[in-house]
Amino acid sequence: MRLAAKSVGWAAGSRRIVQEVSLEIAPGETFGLIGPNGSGKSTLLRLLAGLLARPSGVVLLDGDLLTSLGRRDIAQQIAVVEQIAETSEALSVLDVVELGRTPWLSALAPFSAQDRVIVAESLAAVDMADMAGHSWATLSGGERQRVQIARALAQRPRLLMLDEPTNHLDIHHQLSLLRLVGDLPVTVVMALHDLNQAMRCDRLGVMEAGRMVACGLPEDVLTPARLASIFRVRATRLRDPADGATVFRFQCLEE
Amino acid sequence: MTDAAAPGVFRRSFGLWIAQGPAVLILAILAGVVIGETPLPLSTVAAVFANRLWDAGLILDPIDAGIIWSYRLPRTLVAAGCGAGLALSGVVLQALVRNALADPYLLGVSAGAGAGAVAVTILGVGGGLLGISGGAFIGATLSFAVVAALARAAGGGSAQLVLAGIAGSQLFNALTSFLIAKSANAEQARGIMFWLLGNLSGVRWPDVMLAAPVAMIGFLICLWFARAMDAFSFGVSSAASLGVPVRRVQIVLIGVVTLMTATMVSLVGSIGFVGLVIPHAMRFVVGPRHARLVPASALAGAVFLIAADIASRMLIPGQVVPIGVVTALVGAPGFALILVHSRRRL
Repeated sequence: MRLAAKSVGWAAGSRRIVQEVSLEIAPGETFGLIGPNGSGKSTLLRLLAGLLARPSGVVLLDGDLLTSLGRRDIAQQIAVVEQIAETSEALSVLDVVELGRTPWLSALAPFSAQDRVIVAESLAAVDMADMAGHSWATLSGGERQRVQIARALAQRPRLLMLDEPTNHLDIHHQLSLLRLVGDLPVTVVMALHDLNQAMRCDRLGVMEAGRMVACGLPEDVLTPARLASIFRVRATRLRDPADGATVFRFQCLEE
Repeated sequence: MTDAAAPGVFRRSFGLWIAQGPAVLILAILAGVVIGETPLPLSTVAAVFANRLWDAGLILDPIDAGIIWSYRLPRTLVAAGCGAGLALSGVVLQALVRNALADPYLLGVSAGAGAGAVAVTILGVGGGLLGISGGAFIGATLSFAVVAALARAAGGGSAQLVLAGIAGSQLFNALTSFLIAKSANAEQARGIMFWLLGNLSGVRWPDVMLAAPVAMIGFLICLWFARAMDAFSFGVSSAASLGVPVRRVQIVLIGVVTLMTATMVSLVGSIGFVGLVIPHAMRFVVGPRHARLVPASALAGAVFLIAADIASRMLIPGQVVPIGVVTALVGAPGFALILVHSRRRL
């Protein structure tokens, strides 16, 4: 799934949240969006998924204008996991994951045995198969996050958009989620806060005040100068003696 | 754990439940026909049906036959249609607004329908072309437009919609009272007040021909959109990302709700609590998924309103209690239970 954005932007009233972002994401790529709070990461994700009204610029999905596709067509290709998912309905975990099949079902194509298999596989992928019968309301934040990711997987998308997917997760599930996402044969675009986790992406885009100020390989993008100016931290590169990987240690830069 | 297990127990028996649904409805309709100030045996009822439907030519007391065929049967059928329609409206609004308190009564649709009906009756708006139903329909549409516009101007959240609905209800109820106080004579005023509280006394076959198809069409459309309503569980944006054409679904479903509510209110007055309590009660029985909630609520609403109509006829001998009073007497405690339960769930 090739995703291309050409000078996309979005404004809430007179306040520009995202402006003039252009990028191209290759099939199978894992693309990370980083940036401080309020830099427009979430809004850019929603723009790329076609979820915002009155955007500027264009988004192309395999060469087709996103605005020319129906919601159902888009949902068969793109699954989105937003930061906040709340419901007052007394849904079970299984109910929530089954929602992921919505774009593939209709009155003429009801929920089938194959859909049941896909839902079960999706639950297993996030380690939640044992909890299928649990009520959503009783889950912890991390469990809810995993269930939403299972829901997105059940959509069988070619492009997965995740907004801070490791939020609320314990360290084990953070790492296993990132490995799962990396192993999936789909294109992934995700907003991340943890820069060490961002290092595992194929490419990174850095957002600042609604603009994409850098885009490229993680080691090229995460320079000490940029980390100081955008994230206001001093970064020290360390080498893990176990496998030679680079990790960052951060210290807060005073104003 | 118990929360998760409890609905599951009911869900497994759902197939059985659905199979029994039509049977339960037919039994309720029979009860509505049999029970009354003059109790009529089932054999008489059967004979009337045989005469009417198959020209059996059985000899019957024409008064009994008249009570059954021209009075109780249409009344019961309209009660069923109204109950189903109002309960379905509640299901739809609660799904779209994502607020447990949403029902046609709270969102001003009923108040608007009442004001429209009164405007036609007393002021003669529309010059006799509109009729009570037409007036109620226009009033309902107008009031929902006002409420929706107000909610949008207030920021568009579901809390805003409920608050706007309260404002809209008050406005249109005040308009109704104003029209009555200004223009109605004492006799008209009494008749209208009685009508507003819900009254099935005047219901005849032409009303059935309106209520039944509207309820049936509304039911089928709600069932068609059951999966889309499920997708609204996590909000509008989540529904859109699941492939639901949000705007189109909202317009169609709210149009259906307005049509159903306006029709029902124009026939029997505004009957509260059915649209609010029945969907919640059914969530406990069949769970929150709309493929089950829609048929269960339609059935329960129909049976509940038939029962309420029987109660309204039998509660005080020789006098009809407005059906809205009966539904509120049952509905208010039911509503209290929902409040207590929703607090526990949070």
